[in-house]
Amino acid sequence: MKKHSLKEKMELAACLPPNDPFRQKIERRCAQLGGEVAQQWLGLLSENDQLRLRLHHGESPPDLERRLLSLPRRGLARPGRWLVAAGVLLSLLLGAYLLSAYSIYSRLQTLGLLAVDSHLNDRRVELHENDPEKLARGLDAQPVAMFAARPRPPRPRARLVGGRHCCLGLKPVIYTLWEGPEPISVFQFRRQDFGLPHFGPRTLSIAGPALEPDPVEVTFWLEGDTGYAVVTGAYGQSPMAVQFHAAARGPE
Amino acid sequence: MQKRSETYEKLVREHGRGLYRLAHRLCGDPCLAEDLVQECYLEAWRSLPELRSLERARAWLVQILRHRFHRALRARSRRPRVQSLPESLGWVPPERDWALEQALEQLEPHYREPFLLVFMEGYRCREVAELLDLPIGTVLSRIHRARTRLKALLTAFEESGKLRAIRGSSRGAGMGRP
Repeated sequence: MKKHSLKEKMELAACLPPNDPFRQKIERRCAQLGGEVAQQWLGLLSENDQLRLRLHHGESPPDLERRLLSLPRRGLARPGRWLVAAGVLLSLLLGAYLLSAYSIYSRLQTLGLLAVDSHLNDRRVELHENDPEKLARGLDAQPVAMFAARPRPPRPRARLVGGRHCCLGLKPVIYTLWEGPEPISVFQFRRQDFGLPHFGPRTLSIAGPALEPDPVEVTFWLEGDTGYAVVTGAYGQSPMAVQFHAAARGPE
Repeated sequence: MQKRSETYEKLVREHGRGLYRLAHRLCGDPCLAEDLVQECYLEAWRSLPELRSLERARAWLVQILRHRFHRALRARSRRPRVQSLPESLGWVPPERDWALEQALEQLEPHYREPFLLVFMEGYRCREVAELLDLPIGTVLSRIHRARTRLKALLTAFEESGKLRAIRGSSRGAGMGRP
């Protein structure tokens, strides 16, 4: 500030609050110089006071305080942008999850229907073998690798009867039959053949007029890319299927 | 929660009107000033636990208001300016000091801000330097320049017949105001 003239210093000092050290210093200097300088100083202060009054003039809205006081209530009731974005994202994720879950459910339902039909109507085995390893060796052929999975949920008294290659729909599967004491059908399949994503073990209840009086439960699980479907129950062969098989076989 | 509400109420009662005045002079628009103050207090409510002492409350609120003001400035620069007409809304502001408003509007925000904080709000230059993150010499020179320029602008606006015409037409178009 040394380069500035006293007038400039006075103009600046007059803008500052009364307790400012710079203003106090200039004020003392003006008082010492007295006369015209002191008059100028007083003139500047007066001019600034008038400007301050003008700046402070102008009322605030009469209900400003009331509105400000009600803000927390209104502000909290209205969700923020981030909250809305999070809600939308959550809805999208939930939608995607539900869609995916429905897609899995729908495909397992189809697979379950085919497995139930096979279990109810065709429990034949081509290779009778009680030893899972021997059966596995006997049936081990591409495209479905055979390793004679034990049924789920575990049944300690279940005994392997045998197995065969067959199809569910048009896709190859390996069928194994267990007795324990009810018949247990285990279908091994390739996950991709049935368009299934990875999923956790689950049990589906297959119901409908064709299966009355009781629904049939099918348990599914995955081990790597190999899927399993297990159907249990001492259901007899349906009269229609018996007739069909009898007709196909012809009179004996 | 009770204590928080009490503190908030105290902040509104003690600083609400002062902040509005500052916001009005900063932005030159009573409606925008009201919005700024509301946003400022909403932010203050959310961040109230961060306020260490009530003695710092004014500086804290001014800081929030400044952020909101700069955000509004950026937003305004991105879209065409529309002159607000507060008379058309419920609250009719008292007669406006058009010369002062025009003069303040002509002053660049980086001059206007330190000037108003010191001249109108009574902040010390050191406080303003901290608040605006500027060297104290810069704050002082900006205050001086702002005051000199404001004086010249005020004189020009008050003397120009153009301003009288604006004032006359705005009074004529007012909603029954004398």
